[in-house]
Amino acid sequence: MVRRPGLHWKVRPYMTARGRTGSRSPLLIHTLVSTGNRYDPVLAASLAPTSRTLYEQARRMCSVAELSANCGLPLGLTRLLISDLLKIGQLEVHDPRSSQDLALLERLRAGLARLT
Amino acid sequence: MPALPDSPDGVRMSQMTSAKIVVAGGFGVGKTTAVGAISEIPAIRTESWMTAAAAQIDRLDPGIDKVTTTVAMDFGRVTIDESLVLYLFGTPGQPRFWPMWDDLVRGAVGALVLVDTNNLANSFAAVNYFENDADVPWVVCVNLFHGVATHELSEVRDALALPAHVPLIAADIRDSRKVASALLAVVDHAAKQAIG
Repeated sequence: MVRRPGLHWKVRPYMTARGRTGSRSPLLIHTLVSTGNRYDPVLAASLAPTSRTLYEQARRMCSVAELSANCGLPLGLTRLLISDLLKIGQLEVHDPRSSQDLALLERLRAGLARLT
Repeated sequence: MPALPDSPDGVRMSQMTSAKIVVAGGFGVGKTTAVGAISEIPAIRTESWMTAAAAQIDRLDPGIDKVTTTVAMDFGRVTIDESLVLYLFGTPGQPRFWPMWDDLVRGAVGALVLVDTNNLANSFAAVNYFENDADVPWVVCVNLFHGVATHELSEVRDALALPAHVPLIAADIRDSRKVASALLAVVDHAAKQAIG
């Protein structure tokens, strides 16, 4: 088994979540998250270690699922920590387009056709 | 892992958006292979929802030559254009993971349900899920394990009791171009449903 970064096995997720079990914003697993153009090293230093790891990882835009995997954190906890950073305006989410959006489907079709 | 493109050609980061297609099917049917074949990053396996203990319990039928198992979900990424990324998520196959399918499927463009004609029953649960419990367009794809079809598609449709409106295709999902074609079938089907 590959050793992953993230929580020590003795630290249960609810400790990091300070007892909270749900996040407010509906973050889909493929929602893109990033620090935008305003990565703040002072803020990073002030964050708890798990949040700091997540914040650092988000300097490069990636999905909620990638953040979860790269930080070695459970998905639920990842969502919670992301919404905390959203609340203080330190992360940006790039909401996925509606899956019914014909313009989106046309772009997908063109992109996939190039790979066939 | 390579980064997402950093604002090439003046595309602003804020314009980046993402979409998702779910790759479902029974245990050992080739979901990991399909995602890995087309993903531009090594397929990431996240064990977010499970404990390592389960890896000892999940065993495939002895007849199936598969050493590693998908213990949770796999995902991969395909850059579609300068501001659109497609994520592929392989559903966890084991029955105890079904509750998390809702989370995986939410907001998806559609789903590709893989079936193995040598073990159709293995994908009954996935077919049943998309027929009854999900609200996304779905396409069934017979995985041609060795590049050859062993059954007529019409026989497979009958055996799975697939409704006529669900497209049924066949592909060797080890080939990235065939996976792209299969995903294209999902997008086409989604577009048809969106139009009405």
